[in-house]
Amino acid sequence: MLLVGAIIFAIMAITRPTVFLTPLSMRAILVQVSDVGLLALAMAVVMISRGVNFSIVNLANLSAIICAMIIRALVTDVTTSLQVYLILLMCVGVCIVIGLIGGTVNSFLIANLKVPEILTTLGTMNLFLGISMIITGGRAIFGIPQEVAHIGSGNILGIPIPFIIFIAVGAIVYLIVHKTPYGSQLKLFGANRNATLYSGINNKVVIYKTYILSCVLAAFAGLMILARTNAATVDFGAPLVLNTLLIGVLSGIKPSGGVGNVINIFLAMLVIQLLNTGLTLLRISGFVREMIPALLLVSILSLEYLIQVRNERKLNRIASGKGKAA
Amino acid sequence: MNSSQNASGTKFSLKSLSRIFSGSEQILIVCIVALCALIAIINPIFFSMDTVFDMLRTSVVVGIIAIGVGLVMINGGVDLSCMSIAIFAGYTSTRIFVALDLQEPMILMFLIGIAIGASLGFLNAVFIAFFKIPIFIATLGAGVIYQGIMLQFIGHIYVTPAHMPSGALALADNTVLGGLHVSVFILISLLVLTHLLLRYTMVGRGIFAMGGSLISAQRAGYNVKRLNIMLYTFAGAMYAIGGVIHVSVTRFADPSQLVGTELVVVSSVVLGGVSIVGGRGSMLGVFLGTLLTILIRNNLVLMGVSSDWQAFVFGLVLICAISLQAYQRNRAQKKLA
Repeated sequence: MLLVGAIIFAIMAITRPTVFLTPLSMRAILVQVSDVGLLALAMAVVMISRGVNFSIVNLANLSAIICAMIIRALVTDVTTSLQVYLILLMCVGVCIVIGLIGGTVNSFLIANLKVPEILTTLGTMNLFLGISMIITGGRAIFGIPQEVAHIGSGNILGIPIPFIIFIAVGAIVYLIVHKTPYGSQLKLFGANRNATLYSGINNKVVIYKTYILSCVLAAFAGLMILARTNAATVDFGAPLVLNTLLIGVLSGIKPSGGVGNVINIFLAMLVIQLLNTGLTLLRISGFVREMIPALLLVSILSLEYLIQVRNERKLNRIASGKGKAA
Repeated sequence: MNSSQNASGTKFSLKSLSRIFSGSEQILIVCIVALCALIAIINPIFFSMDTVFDMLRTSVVVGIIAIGVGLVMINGGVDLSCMSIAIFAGYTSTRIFVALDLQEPMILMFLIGIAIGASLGFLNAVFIAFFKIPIFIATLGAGVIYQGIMLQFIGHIYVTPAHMPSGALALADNTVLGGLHVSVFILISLLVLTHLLLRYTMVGRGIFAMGGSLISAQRAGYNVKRLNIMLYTFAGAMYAIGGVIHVSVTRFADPSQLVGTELVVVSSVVLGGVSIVGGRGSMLGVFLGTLLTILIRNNLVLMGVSSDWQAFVFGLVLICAISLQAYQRNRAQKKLA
């Protein structure tokens, strides 16, 4: 993984050194990684449980729209910047509530009604889109105060603030997935649902926790998008769903579930972002650029399957060889 | 004597009727009639033969594509590349006709489209059957790839009505019986054909069997790989026919159309009573589900609902449909246990 990243980095650095190796483009990569990264984490958590969540991008947009409306309604010319920060803190709370609601809806359908994850989240995706449409009438919301925009574009010690927030959230997710009982339950649940059921784990609770975690992360990503782009729109970033899936798969999460490592997700994200930025800088046509994540996704999965088949054959050969010797 | 014969006669016809329409299909018909009545009460303009013809015409493209998606769902998967394949076939066949300066015959355009659609469907099957990529990831990725290939290598320029082949324009204008569009007959004949394939051939039985339980189907001796290839190729051909009809009826080949409306097709199929986990479903159900979806989507405005609410109502209907189906399935399972 690290190797792939380094190779892409080297290719970019060699082919277009004047544009690529500048602080500006490095900074752009780090900033862009942040909100895509939060969405990727949201997708990855669900992928570990052998599910998929198509509704994350639309939920992020919905939370961005609601936060933007709250900020617009509460912030006037006389508001001090301290008050703005308080309002922003409130927005974080609102995001968590939105994520809770969205996650509960998703997991109620999946856990209690036993609807397949794909159809559930495709349905709720449309539902969240619909709510955003009703609220905004399809128009973008602009006019976010300076302080909020500062979070999206500012630096602390030369590191962009969105990236710092992303690292912080990522660390929390790391702790949840790797250091808590729930984390191990999540991985076991993804590997074998019957086994967890019979070993006394409440599968429904695991589903609820997973989708709520995923949706809260997505809602928070919405707030980050708002801060970075200074606008909230209904249809921001539709192709991101595919990108987040790709990041999940690249990081070694199998679509069949059970395995997952937050650190790998970070690396995969950096690779994808390097690739995207690199392709833009190399002036590859936009159509091809949109196609590449899909192409990578399909080819990586094919390759993985071929490797798996080869390994199994090798194992079989060893086993049969032993049989003969005995 | 005579009366008893009569009674048994009516009994027989009722029985055969309920054999044709299963439970979920009866519910669907009631829903469609009730919704029509509601719309007609709110807006009397709705109540005319023209509306019926118009509704049938608008449901042709979705209906034909829904045949393919319905088959895939009976087989236990979801095809998210359907619209990409449809527009790929429709747009490319139009461009080929324009490039060769051909005007007629329409059948050739369909054949080109079907060849394209079937080969893309075949490619899907390769990803799914040979590389064992999960179906939704394979079709989602493939859809994006096909669209990228089309936009990059075939073109992204609209073919305007002035440049459309005259055969396609003739198809767009071709109506019989005072307004019924010819493409409706294409839809109906494809539905009947697929129904017969599904009910009376080994391939059809195999598709049901795989949807019910993949491993059981394999152990029962079905060649799963070959079935997958046949299924996705056939589905690809269906998408292609839908795509070619779409560009001819709209008289406009725009490569960015259709893509993004996959959910309309999926919801038609789910509303039509095709099981969300596979193994059950019928072509009649798919047709009725399509009618209901089109009815809901196209007539919200007639009912006085703002167009901003469309996505929300549509999402709600989809979720209600899948929840209702899942609820019934859970209850049936509990009864068994």
